[in-house]
Amino acid sequence: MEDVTQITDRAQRLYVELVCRKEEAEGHPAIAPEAEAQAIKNGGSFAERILLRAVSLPDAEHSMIQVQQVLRTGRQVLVGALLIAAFLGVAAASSALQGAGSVSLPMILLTLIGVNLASLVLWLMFQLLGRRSGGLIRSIWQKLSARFVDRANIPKGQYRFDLASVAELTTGRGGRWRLGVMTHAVWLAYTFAGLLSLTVLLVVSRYELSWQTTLLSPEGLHAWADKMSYAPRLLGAAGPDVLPLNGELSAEHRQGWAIWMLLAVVSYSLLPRLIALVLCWILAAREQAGWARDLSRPGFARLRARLMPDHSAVSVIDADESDTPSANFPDKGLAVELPESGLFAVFLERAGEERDADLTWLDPVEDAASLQKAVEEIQAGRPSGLLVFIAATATPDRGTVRVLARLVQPADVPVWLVLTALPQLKARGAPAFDTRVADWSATAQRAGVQGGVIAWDDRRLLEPVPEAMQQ
Amino acid sequence: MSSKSIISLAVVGHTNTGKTSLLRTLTRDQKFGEVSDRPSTTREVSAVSLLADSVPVMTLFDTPGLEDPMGLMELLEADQNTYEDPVARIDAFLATDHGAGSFEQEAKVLRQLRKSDAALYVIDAREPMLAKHREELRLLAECGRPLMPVLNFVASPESHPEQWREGLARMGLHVLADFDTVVFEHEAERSLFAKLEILLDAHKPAIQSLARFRDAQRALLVEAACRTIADMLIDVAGLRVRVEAEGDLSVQSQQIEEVVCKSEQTCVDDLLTLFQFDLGAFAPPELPLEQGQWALDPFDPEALKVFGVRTGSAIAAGATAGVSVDAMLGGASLGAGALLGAGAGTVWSFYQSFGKRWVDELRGYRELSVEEQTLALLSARQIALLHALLRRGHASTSAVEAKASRGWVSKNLREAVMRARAHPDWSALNSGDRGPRPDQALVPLMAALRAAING
Repeated sequence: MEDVTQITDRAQRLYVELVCRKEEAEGHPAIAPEAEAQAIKNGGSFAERILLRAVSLPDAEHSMIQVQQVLRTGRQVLVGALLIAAFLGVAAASSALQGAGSVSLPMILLTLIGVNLASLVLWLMFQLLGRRSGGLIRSIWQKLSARFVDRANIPKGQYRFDLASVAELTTGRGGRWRLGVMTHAVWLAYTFAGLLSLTVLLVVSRYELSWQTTLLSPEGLHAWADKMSYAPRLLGAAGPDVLPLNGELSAEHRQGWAIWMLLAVVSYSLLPRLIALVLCWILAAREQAGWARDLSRPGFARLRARLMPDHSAVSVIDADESDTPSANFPDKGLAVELPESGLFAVFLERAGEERDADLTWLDPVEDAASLQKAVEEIQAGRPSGLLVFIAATATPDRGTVRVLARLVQPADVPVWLVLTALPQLKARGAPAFDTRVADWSATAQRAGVQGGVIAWDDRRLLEPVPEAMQQ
Repeated sequence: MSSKSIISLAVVGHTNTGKTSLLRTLTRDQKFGEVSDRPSTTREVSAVSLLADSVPVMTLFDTPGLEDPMGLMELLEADQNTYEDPVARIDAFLATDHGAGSFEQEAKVLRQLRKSDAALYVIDAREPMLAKHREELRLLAECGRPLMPVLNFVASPESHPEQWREGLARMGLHVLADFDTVVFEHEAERSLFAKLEILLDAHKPAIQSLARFRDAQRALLVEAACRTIADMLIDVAGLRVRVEAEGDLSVQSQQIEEVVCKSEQTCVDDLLTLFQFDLGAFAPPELPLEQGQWALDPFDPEALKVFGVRTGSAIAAGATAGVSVDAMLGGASLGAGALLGAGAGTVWSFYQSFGKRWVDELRGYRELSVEEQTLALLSARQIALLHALLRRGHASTSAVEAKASRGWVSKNLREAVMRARAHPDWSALNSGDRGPRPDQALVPLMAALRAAING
């Protein structure tokens, strides 16, 4: 069993990537308040918090160990493949040099260059076919993993980090470059081991080298050998222009062709593989660096509000200990009987400007002085009733209750609260209208306004809608 | 940051002017406090800190609304004692029973303001400036703390911010901010912080750090939202469903419709989550998002009409014909095509583009994909939703209003989506691989979406 403290950075980043994939597939991030609190507590960048959250998830240790095991197994498989390839390279070189009589140079080239070069071209073709080859690998992998899940009795829907790791490493981001690295490394091991064996054998034994061919004419063979000599010449070897292709070869010529052959293997087999390996390595590393760093992906972006909160928790620091005022809605009829004459009217808080000629208007009440003046005028005037006009859009408050109560007290006559600006209130929607009318009714009642709340245009009593019906 | 350097701001104002709404929008938390169009909704003082990189920078105190400033002023003026200054008079009032409990709410506000560095005085700009407001401002000024008026609901046609500006200037309040808590403007928030810097000069660096953090968060939010939409469009555009050629097309079409609707819904959910909105709690809006879901599905001809897209069959049969050779080669790398030279790639491309379709037809299958007008509709809807969300305050309780655009939002967007349509290999809906979509798909689409959002 792996030790969780031995989890490598690479395994950790792969694990975070897989957590993101899992949560994207599930449609939402896992609910993990403790892991998130831990990430917030430790602070750092968003990427660091994502990592810390992932490794603090309840099952993280087990999952990370699964990922680590996959990576370790992958390394072991690669090392095994490299050893086998190296052994095959040695065997290929040895068998190519064996045989009665002379050793065929074309055969050695075919063994150590031809096969390697052909597989390299095949690999390049796969790259040309782009991601469609990835689709093939993916579908093969999906079938294999489905079979594995069936055989291993793994419950459907259970997320296996080990299986997901393999899928990600092979078919995920940079998967084809990782496969490329493995492929090239194996071929490189084969070629290098073959080249080394060839060199050692050529050093310790004497071989009769020859350009044996059955099908090619001497001219054709010369032309082919000349073309093949292009790269070895660049590395300092002599070609068919200096060395003979036919007849008995002298010791010097044998040495010349042996050097030519070794340099041909280096230039046509070893170097292309090495270049391909380095390129794949760079591309794989670049793609791998993207693991868990593409923070605009939905799987990560959805965590931003949780891990980078805009605000702290809310705390109540001065609690409400008073009783909430409750409105009691009286059951009233719709028609309002107003006295035909002697009615006083007053605007509260600039409720309007149009003054009905049938009414006796007091100065608008806005502040303590105007309120006192209105009270005095009501006491002196002895009206048959009092109409207090206020804008329905204003919010009824304790201040309004107090002012209304001051006006009602000395009047000793029926008082009505008249709402203006009703069309504006209606424009805010029926629920807002009903709520506000109910609030004004409650305000009127608290202030002792006996007549109730009315709409002035049609002298209609505005019946409050009980709160239960407003829901 | 030490607790001493955390700015404390009391959010005060007359009752029902949107103090809690301001906090909801600033905290991006639509569950903060209780909001209603009624008086005395908030009856306690609550504290919440705005964070920058998890560090508290500013603590905001939501206070109950002032309801009877004139009554309280009368009470204060009736006090026969002489005080050194108005602040001492307020402190004396706070030490009493607050007018036998009549002004308990006001006492909470004044007590909090006395403990705070400054106050934001929230104004419902739809209401006229009245004597009671002037009295409130005088009362708050007596607490000896800087006061900055914040005009709320300025986006409403009923509002009259100029009258308020004039009235406030007459009271010596010249530094004020426009900040609609329902119709959110990121610029307005930035301006609010900039004006707070003037008011609280000693805390300027902290306020600037908070503003910078919020700018960065906003940019990342837009980026993530564009990415969410881009992923969905790439998936849906490249979607292929292989069905029997002899089957009932209308039944088969339902399969693809279900997949597309589910994909779009996931995108909507992601966007709402990113913006921290929970539309499920709201009343059903008229159009087009209901309870977090679009009212009309993207295959409905009515939905296409609403968004100005040509109506027609929303399913294309045998759409793989649209897969072009050049698009196929776009996925190649390392210039390997030049190395091959023999045209193997072209042969393979040709097979993928046309041959596979013919082979499928011979074997009795056909492929269904999503047609252009449906893709145009999906794009337009998500962009409209994103526009709406970017301008939605967390105090808003109304429907999301997404203004319909006409057809494709831009030529670049169309090109980017149609390119994705030629790439079934890019779609996670086909492969089941939910990893990052390829850069060649994402980069142009993201650029087109950003331009559509900022345009």
